[in-house]
Amino acid sequence: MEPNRSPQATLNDLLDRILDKGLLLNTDLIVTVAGIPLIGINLKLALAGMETMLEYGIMKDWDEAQRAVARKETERQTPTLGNEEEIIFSVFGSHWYSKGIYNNWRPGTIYITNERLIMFRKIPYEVLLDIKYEKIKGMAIQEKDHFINGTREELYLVLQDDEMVRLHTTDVLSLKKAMENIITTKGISLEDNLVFPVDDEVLGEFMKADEKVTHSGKMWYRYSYIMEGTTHYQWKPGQLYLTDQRLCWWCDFDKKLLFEISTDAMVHIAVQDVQFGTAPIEEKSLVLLYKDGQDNQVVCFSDNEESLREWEKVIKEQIGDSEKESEKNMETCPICGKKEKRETLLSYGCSRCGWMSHRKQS
Amino acid sequence: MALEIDEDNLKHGLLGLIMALVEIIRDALKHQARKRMLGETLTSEEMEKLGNALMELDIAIENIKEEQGITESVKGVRDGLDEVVDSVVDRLLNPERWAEDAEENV
Repeated sequence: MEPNRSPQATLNDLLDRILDKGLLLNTDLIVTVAGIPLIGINLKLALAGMETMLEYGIMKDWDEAQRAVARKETERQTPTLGNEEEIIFSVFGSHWYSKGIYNNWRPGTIYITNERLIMFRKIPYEVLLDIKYEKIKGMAIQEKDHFINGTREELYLVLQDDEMVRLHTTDVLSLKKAMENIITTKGISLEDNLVFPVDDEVLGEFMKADEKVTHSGKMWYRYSYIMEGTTHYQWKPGQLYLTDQRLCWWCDFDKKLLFEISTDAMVHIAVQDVQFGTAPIEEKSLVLLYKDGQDNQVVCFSDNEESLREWEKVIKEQIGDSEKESEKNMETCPICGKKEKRETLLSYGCSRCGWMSHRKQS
Repeated sequence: MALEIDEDNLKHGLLGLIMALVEIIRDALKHQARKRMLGETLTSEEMEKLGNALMELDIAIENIKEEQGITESVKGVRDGLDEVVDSVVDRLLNPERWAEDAEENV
């Protein structure tokens, strides 16, 4: 190719010149027929290179906003991979994270590469899991209770150091298959018949030694808290336990008892329509009236109606039992006739008329 | 002042014209990119991305031209367009030409 230079103006010269300088057109135009205006055109046009535009202060905000969007979009979209590593399978899912005070399902994208299992979240950027296949001892799909929609399938991985990883996606089976394919091609054999630690040990943590659970089940609890002077409600998932001593509710997420009363304190139980959240939708709930010192308190639980009815029956029986018990313990004040508990009447006297037992007086 | 498109080979003609226009747009974009880079508003990261994108576009255009064997016809079309522009600009900028035109038309 021979270098040549001609003083000729090219099309690109023309375009560059127009864009560098900028072109501004401001036109009013009407089209008339027989002296009658029929069409009006009001044309305002500015054409220039962006740098020239910015120089005149036009579209400055837009320029910045556009570049900010581009920056955000190109934030790292995939995890950093090794040299000969490639992604074979990827799916959106979540894994159970339980360290320190934080227990939750963390969502992210699960990547199966030819070397390891990576789980990663875009915003804020974090690699949630990074497991080499060599470290996996075995895996299995297990049906687990979930706080909505009954049960769901989860993929359990057991690692060399007996650590357990719980994964969930909409199609656990294909995730498992994808991993198994790679693991077999890499010549790693997995152990069959692994024993998976069961995580029902929750019970032991708060039960007293002599306490016996008579009824238990999955239940939502209406947790109330006061913020800025108004009471707010929040439904939390967990387990409700009725023992021979207490009625208590264990919060799945906070891993602690949020509600606990003695069985004697229960006064009345009913299944009622209760407003859910702020929406004016009423759903069947288990409403329990109980005694807290001198006051009556109300607590709400909810789940599907079938189990609500069952709980209603069980708690009704319990209340019936304790009422019969307390009937036996009742005494009447010999002066005014007020009914009161035998022990209170004998040791502290009548709360209405002030009668005192002779045994106490002497 | 006419653009010559090869009638015998419509592919060369039409594809050449389209690629010529693409190249012209690309050149204009390149020029503006250069100006933006000198304008000090872009971060170095953005500059690199812009440069890479333009380079990829260059490579893609060269590939297409080679694959289709239209390098020559693209150049022909561009030269043709440049000549058209040159003559128009020449006529607009030099009043003597107007007089020449007027004389010719008489």
